[in-house]
Amino acid sequence: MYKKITEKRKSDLSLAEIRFDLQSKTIILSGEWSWVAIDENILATLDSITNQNLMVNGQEITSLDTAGVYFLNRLIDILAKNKNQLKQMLLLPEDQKLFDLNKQLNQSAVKSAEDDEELSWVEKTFDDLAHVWHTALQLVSFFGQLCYTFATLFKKGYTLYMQGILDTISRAGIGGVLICAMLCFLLGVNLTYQMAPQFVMYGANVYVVNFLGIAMLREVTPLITAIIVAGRTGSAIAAQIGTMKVQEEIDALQTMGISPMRRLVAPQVIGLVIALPILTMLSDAASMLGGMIFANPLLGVDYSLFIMRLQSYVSINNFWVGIVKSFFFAWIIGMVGCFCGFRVKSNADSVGIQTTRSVVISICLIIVVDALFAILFKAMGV
Amino acid sequence: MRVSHEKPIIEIKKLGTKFGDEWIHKDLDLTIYPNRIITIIGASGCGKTTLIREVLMLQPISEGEIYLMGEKISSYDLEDPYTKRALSQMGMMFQQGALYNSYTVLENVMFPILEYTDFSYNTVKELAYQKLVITGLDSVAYNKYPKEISPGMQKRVALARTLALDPKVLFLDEPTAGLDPNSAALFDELMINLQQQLGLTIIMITHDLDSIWHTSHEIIYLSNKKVTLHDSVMNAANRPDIPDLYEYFNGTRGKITKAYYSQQERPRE
Repeated sequence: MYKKITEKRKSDLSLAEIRFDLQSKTIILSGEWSWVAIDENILATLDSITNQNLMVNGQEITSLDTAGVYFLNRLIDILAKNKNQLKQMLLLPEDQKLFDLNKQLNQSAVKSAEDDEELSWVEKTFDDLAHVWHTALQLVSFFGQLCYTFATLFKKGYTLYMQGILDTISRAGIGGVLICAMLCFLLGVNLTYQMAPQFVMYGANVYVVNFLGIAMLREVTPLITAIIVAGRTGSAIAAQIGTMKVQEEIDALQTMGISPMRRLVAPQVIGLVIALPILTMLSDAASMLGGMIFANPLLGVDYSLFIMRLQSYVSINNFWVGIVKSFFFAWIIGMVGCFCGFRVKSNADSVGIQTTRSVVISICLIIVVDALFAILFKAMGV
Repeated sequence: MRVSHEKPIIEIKKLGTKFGDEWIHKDLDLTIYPNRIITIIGASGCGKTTLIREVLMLQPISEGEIYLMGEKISSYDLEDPYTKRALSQMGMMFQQGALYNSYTVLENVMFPILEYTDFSYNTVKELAYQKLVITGLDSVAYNKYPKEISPGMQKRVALARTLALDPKVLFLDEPTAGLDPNSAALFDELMINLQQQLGLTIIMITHDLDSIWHTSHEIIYLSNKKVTLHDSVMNAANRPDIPDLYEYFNGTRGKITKAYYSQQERPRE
C-alpha cells in the first residue's frame, strides 16, 4: 500500500477488498488491485477457508496492475495450500490479458527467487575467512610483482618516473611535516607529563631523558608517523588508483604498453621510502623538544642537562632502529595503498570500501611488522 | 484508476518555456490519447527532452498548463503526496539508463517499490523479480552490478525499474541509442509487447528510423517552438510541404527504411 497515504487521499481510493460469500462459495474481489491500494495482509483472511470447492470472482476489480497480479497469484497459491479446489476465476477481459502474461512469468520468477539462499552464520564466517586468506595471498603476489619491478627499475633502457617520485615526496612528505611534528611534539609533552609523578616518587627525575629517548625514538614516533602517513597518503593513493581503475585509465595505460606497476606504483613506493624516514627524523626532533620543554618545570631537568644526558646515556642505535623501521613502514603503506587501489571493481562504492581497507590493512601490517622488529632487534642486541 | 481509452491521458495547453530571453516553446498545444506508442522527433535543440522533462515535473514551465489524466500538474514539491502519486503514474527511462551503480540489478528495481510502498522486504523482492522477468532479463544478471552487464541488459534493467510502479505513461529517451542492431530490434519487440500487454502509453524520443517505423503509431514533429505535425508515420513521411520533415524520412538513409516499411503490412495504424 502507498506509504505516506493521507486520510484525505485514502477516502479517494477504493482499497482492495476480499469478501467470501458462503452460499455461492465465491470469493469476491473488489476495489483497486494496484500497489497503491493493496494492504499486504489482505490475504490473511483466506486462511480460514479450507477444503472447499470454490470460485473467484474478480469482475468487481476497478483497476489491476502487475502488483495486483502478484497478489492474485499469491491468493491462488494460498487457496491451493489449504486444499481448496478452484473451479473458475472470473476477470474482466482486459485484466485477464495482464493476468495471463504474468502467470507464465511468475513460475520462472519463483524459480530464480529460490536460487539465492541465505547463508548460515557458519558459512558466512568461513566465507569471510576464505576471503581474508585469498586477499593475503594476492597481497603476497603483489609484493612479488613489486619486487620484480624494483629489480628491473634501474636497468638500462627503462624509464624512471622522477616526476611521480617528486610528487609523492611533496604530497606525503612536505605536506605532512606540520601535522606529524605537531602530534609528536604533543606526545612528547604528554608522556613527560604523565610519567613525571612516577619519576619524582623515586627521586629519579633525570631518568626521564632515558625513558623519552628510548620510548619515543625507538617505538612511538616511527609508529605514529607511519600511521599518520597511512591515513593521509595511503588512502589518497588507493583512491587515486581506484578512480583510475573505474574510469579504465589503467587499461588505457596497458594498451599503450606502459606498465602500471612501473608508472604508478613504483614512484609512489619510492617517494614514500624517501619521505617517511625524513618525516620520522623531524618527528623525533619534535617529540624530544616537547619532552625537553616540559621536563624543565615539571621535573627540574633543565635544557642543558637534558641535552647532555640525551647525548651520553641514550644510544644512537635507538634512533637508527626507528629510522630503519620507517623504511619498511613506507614500503608497506605504498604497497597496500596501490594494492587496494587495483582491487577496486567497476562501481563507485568500491573506491570508498578499498580506500578504507587500505588504511586498515596498512596499520595492521605496520603494527605486526613493528612487533617482529622488536623481536629481531632484541635478538641482535641493538 | 482505470485508464479511459477515450479521454486524453496527457493534455498540454498553451505551453511556453523560456530559457533566458529565448522561447523554447511558445503556445504549444498537444493532446495525447492512451494506449499507443508515440515518437517525438525534431531537430536537435528544439526542446524534445525539455518537453518531456516538463511533463515529468523535472523542470518548471513559464506559461500554460499540463494535465495528466485530467489533473493539473503544477507542484514541484516532491514531498507533496499528490505530486508523488502523479509521478508514480509516469515512468522515465533515461538515455544512459541512470541506474544506481552502487546497487545490484535487483536492488535497483526494488528501490522505487521500497520507497513508495509499505510492503515487506520479501514481497518487494518478488515484485522486483516479476518486473525483471517481464523485461526478459536473464536471471543470472539479477545479483550483478549495472556495470558488470552489457548495455542491452542495462536498458532492460532500466526499463524494469521504470515499470516498477506500474506507470500508465512511459517516457523513453533514445531507448535504442548505443545498442547493436540485434539488441535494438529485440528492444523494439519488447516495447511493442509491453505496450500491448500492460496497456501502456509510450512516448519516446528517438533518431532510430527503424525503430520509428517498426514501433510507432504516431509521430509528433516539433519545430518553430510548437507541434507542427501530429499524425501517423506514413502520413508524416509524405508531407513535402514540411521540407525538414520530408528530408528526415526521405533522405539517403530514410528512403531505404521507408521503402522497406511501405511494403510491409502495417496493422498497427
